[in-house]
Amino acid sequence: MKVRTVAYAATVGVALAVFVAFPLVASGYHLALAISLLYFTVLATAWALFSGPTHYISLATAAFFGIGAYTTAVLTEFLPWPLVLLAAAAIGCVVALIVGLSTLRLSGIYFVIFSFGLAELIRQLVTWYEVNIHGSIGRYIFANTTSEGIYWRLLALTVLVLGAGWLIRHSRFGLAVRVIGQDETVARHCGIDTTRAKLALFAISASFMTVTGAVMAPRWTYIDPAIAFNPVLSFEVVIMALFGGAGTLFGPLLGAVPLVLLFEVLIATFPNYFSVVLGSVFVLIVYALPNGVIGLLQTKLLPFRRPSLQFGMSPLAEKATRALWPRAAQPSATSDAPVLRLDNVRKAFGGLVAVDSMGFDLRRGEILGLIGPNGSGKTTALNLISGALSPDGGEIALSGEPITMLPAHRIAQRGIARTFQLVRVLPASSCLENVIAGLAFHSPAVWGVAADTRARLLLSRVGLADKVATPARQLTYLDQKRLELARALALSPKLLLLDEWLAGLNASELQVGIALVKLLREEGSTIVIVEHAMDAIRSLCDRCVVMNAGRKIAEGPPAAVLADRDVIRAYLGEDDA
Amino acid sequence: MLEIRSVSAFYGKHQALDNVSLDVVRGEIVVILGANGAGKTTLLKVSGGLVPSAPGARITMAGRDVTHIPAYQIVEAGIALVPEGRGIFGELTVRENLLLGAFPARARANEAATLEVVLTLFPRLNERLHQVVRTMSGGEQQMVAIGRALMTSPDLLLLDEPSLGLAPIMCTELFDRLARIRATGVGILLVEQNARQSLKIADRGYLIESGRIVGSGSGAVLKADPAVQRAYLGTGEVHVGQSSPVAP
Repeated sequence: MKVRTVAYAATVGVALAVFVAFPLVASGYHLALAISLLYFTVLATAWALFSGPTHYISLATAAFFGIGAYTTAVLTEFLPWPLVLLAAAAIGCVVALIVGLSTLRLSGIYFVIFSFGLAELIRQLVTWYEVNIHGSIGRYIFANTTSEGIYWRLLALTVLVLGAGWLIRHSRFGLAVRVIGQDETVARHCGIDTTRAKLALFAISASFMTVTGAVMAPRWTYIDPAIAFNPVLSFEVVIMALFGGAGTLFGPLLGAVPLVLLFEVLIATFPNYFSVVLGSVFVLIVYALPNGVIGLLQTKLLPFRRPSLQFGMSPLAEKATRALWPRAAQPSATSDAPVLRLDNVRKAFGGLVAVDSMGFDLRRGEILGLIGPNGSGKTTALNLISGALSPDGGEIALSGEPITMLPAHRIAQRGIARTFQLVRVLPASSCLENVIAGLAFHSPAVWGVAADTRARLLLSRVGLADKVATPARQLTYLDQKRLELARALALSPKLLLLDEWLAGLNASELQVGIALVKLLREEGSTIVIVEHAMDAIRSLCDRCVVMNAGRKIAEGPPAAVLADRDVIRAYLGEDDA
Repeated sequence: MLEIRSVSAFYGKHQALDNVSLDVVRGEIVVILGANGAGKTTLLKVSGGLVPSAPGARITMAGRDVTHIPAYQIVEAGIALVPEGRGIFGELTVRENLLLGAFPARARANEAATLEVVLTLFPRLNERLHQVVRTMSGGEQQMVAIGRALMTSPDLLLLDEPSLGLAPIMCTELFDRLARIRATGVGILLVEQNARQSLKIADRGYLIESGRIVGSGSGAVLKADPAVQRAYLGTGEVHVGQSSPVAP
């Protein structure tokens, strides 16, 4: 192991030395080509840093690159190089935060269009400023630098962006954004502040892009908005990242290198048909390599290499995580307060009152069955408790502390875990990562080797010990339900909400499921279950709350409640009573 | 009407169905019972054209070979699938969801009349005609899914766990509706975990285990079968020991 590490470090060292020494021997043409390779590698890697895990396709690369170029154009006369680059990073970061805050709520196609529009907006603003205030549309850049200098700066930037990518990938922050990319709802209910995570990553990615623009600007000597904010750049970067594989660290590099070389040949041989060929290349890539070069390598050439399952984290990455991810304050639990109290809670959707004057208490270690006809508001009640929805009125308290208006991720951090009526797992992640998503973001968070061990324990507990490395999408419906429970239990919840977790099981499977929930109760879990399987309700629940048309119509032990005339009429039907 | 002969199906290397043959005739309800993972859903998906069958299979609908035709043409042949997990269009209203069901050529002419029938069958949908489906409860969405399948004027309905998430009273109502749909001459192939109620209305049933059919018979015969009682009706002893898989 030690020898391998040394050999690995030596290889990297030699490679770096070769790259650093390259300008000393290269011709002018080759140096120019190397600069193109490096700056596209940085841009594509920075793009994939954000868009790879979150699946938000950004076409704003040109906007940030152009901002960087203009930072150099304006500041280079007054400031030394290092300060210009720092200023570029800071400006990129601030613009990304402002833009991100207003747009990361957008999803899918809306975000793509907006990010594309952003580049145009900034270009127009800069043009307006230059024409009306500066007095001329273009600027000359008299930077005291050489091609070699630009090359070395880009090389350093490449190392930095790959290093940042590696750190993020191996940190809790990286896990958070992978979870967000697969299912934002699950992410929130695991305790992830999705807005903050997306925003932070967007800003990091944008800062690298602005610095690249700032480093590259002197290459042109003269810039105007059409050069600096060239929208084609945004598309080229997307093509490169997708061609290489946006989901991996080195994928964008594997895409950038061949494509930059290809573009070089194309421009030299068919200067007039460049765009046509570019478009065709894009189409071909999407059809032939949906997972990029990396995907091809992994499935065709290296089928035996299994993905690494260790979640051990380097101390450096842990520190980076801490900085980005301060821990939520641990609420002090009041011992004699009910675990959960709902008081006069109300929620309406337009004219439809889904939950009205709802109130009940839940003691520690109790299992409460929430039952009622379809559309009576049971799932809405769970959504209000877990913070997926905010009530219009009333109070909800967890262990005596109000959680009424808290967002879902705060409620999850405080110890309410849930499963979903239509099972929700992270399809592309392994079972292990699915459970670690539940461990890593509540407070106190579990991470690193401890998380790995605990996740394996939880998986074996729900009967998935042999599926640790299996991607969740390959599990049967039943196993996905098991996995969802393991993820919920990973939050070490004070209160567990099970929304029809036993639905879809046949009689013998149901008995096994009931046995597990009983086991959880013996360990002191407090549970609310929404369920239509009366056998389960009878054998599990200490108490039932029956809802009809948004209101509580009965409350008490199952035997009494299920014999109630109103309950029979509204819910059970005469046949089943 | 529906004849399935020697159907096998694979997901990668995993064999989900092994040489399955069965029939459904007009105006009968046939229920398929089996554990989770036995291949019930796959069987419906193969019949509906969503999962390809392995070579050697032959599926015919009213004499027409539908083994290898795409799903949208299978709907024209008179087979409508209601998938597990509903598959409704959340952003559309109840009415729009239902009218979408009448898109196939076979259903367009009678669209208004079929809608009338569906709304009589599910009065709740009539009350909620203009509500966006996403905002409805799980059970109501299930009704929309079944209603939409009926809008294709099918000769055969494939239902994957229609009672999932329904309150007991709705469940009883649903099975009552299915009996009424049968009375109109439509055949129903039903996958259900609620063995008690489904066997009550089923004309016939099949037992499926690890992708094979291991038993069949009339609803009454299956109901009396001790093996069925033990596994699906919950009347037998079930041991939950340390060695048995925990959870659901």
